[in-house]
Amino acid sequence: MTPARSLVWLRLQKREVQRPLINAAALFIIGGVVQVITGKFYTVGNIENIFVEIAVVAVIVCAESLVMVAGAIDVSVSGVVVLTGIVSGLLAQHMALWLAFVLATLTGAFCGLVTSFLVLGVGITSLIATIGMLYVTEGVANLLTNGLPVVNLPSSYATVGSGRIGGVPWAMPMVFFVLIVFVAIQRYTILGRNAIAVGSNSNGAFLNGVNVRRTMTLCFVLCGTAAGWAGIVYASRIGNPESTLDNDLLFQVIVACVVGGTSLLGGQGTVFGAFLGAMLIATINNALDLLGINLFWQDISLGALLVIAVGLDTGLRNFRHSPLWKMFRSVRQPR
Amino acid sequence: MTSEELILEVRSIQKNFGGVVALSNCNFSLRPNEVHAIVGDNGAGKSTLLKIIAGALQPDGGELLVDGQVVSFTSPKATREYGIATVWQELALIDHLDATANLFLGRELYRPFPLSLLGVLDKRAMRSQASEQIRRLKVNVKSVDQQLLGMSGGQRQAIAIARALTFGSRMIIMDEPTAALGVRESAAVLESVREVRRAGRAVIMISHNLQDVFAVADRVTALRLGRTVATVEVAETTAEEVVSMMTGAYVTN
Repeated sequence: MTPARSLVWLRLQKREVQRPLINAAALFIIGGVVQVITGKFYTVGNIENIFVEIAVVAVIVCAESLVMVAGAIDVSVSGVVVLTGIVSGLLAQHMALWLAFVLATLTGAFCGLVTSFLVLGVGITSLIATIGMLYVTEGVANLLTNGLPVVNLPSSYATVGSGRIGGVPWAMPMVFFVLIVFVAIQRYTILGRNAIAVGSNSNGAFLNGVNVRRTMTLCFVLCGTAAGWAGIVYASRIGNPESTLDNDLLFQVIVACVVGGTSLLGGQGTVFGAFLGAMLIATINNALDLLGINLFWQDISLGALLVIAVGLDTGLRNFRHSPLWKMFRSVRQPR
Repeated sequence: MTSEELILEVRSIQKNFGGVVALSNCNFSLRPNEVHAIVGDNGAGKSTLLKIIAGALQPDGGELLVDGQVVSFTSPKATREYGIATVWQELALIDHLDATANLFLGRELYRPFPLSLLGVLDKRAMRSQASEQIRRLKVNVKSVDQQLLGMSGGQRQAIAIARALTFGSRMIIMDEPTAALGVRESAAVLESVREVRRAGRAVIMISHNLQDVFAVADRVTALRLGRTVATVEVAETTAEEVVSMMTGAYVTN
């Protein structure tokens, strides 16, 4: 084998390379099938639709995958989305829109900071700490509004969620911008590198002088910030922010990360893979829509997608260690 | 030898874990350019002493001196400016990162000024330096881009040692470096210990294996029940004497 080919082979053996490739292939195949049947998938309007539909999930997924690679999980995101949506609406009644948005996003970052204190300072497992945060943030949102939708908003409030810029929905460049920022963080900065180290072997990272606490804190704060921004996009799309928890959102985020090749055990996964996972969910939902299939099938497909993705992975690994595969290999490559 | 000439000195170090006394009145010194072995039975406090020297644990009493100056290592990172690097028994490698990333873990190189503020890594420089190190130290890996996940125990150990050799400019600490290795790999590790001494650096080596100790060490310190029993020149002692130090049969003259 030439060195170049063996390098490609090495890369292909990584799950975080395999999964995105499979996801990308699945995206185009599903799209192609629906295109053939309905002729409506590969249209500008439909592609735009997909992006608008998935914008909120896609933004959160970028940061959540970073947290999961670091070996933690943040399930408070849907609570933070509700809270910052409400905060942005309430503030927009009194001040310039941009300022309201900045402050609401910072509210999300603050939630991430509180989470990181609970996890690193107090020592609560991230799952439990963020379940706590999930309900606290929702509760605060309800307290702020008495459970009623926020009304009397400036008309420009809806721009982020459903407006257009340069001939495309605002959501499209926004999602790409967030994606590029997080891919860059993961691939090119010390934070991305340390997140893998901490998630893979936290004690080993510490012994080598990696600042484990700072790494985790930054991941949680970034996740809170992304969820904060996503909350604004979410509320802006509805038009009038409401303090109802959307747990579907949370599970879509987690499914997207896992389907995109992120390991719940930490150390493995990429932002781009998780993003493709989100796109795959959006594409399947969109395809079911276009085909006129009952809406409830969307839930079934989400569940099936998760089980198939993880099942394929585990199944393939088990298969590779099975006597059958070894026999096949020894026949194929006689030594 | 006076304190100024010692590169490292441990003076009456004490460490408790809850009610358990792990180390009490532990003394140890390291001369420049020597291989100093620490031996002892299980639970004698070898690893605790090593973790204190390497900054992973903080002592409850006593002091640590480098070049005659009292230092306080609050984390493994703090040992770096003194040119101290450690090969941990569990190797402290990151399976999901490649060889280059592991070699530079915690000591990454950054791109020049504006980008360095954002923590942007200089991957190309690290890769080329890692390739050079790996070639120089004859580490048997296919490529520095290979993830550690599929590597053998010997390859992993070689990378952990290469990392310490690269960054331990004065002193290298090794915790049971040959414990998990086969005969050939063990010989290679001992050879690299000799090379380090030839290069003018000092080595602290924890070992269970007296054969290894007698093969490479200049001096040996025995620990028993959290105390240092004695330090002797390897050339002036026998395996029987060292064993008697470890088991408590030793009588100081």
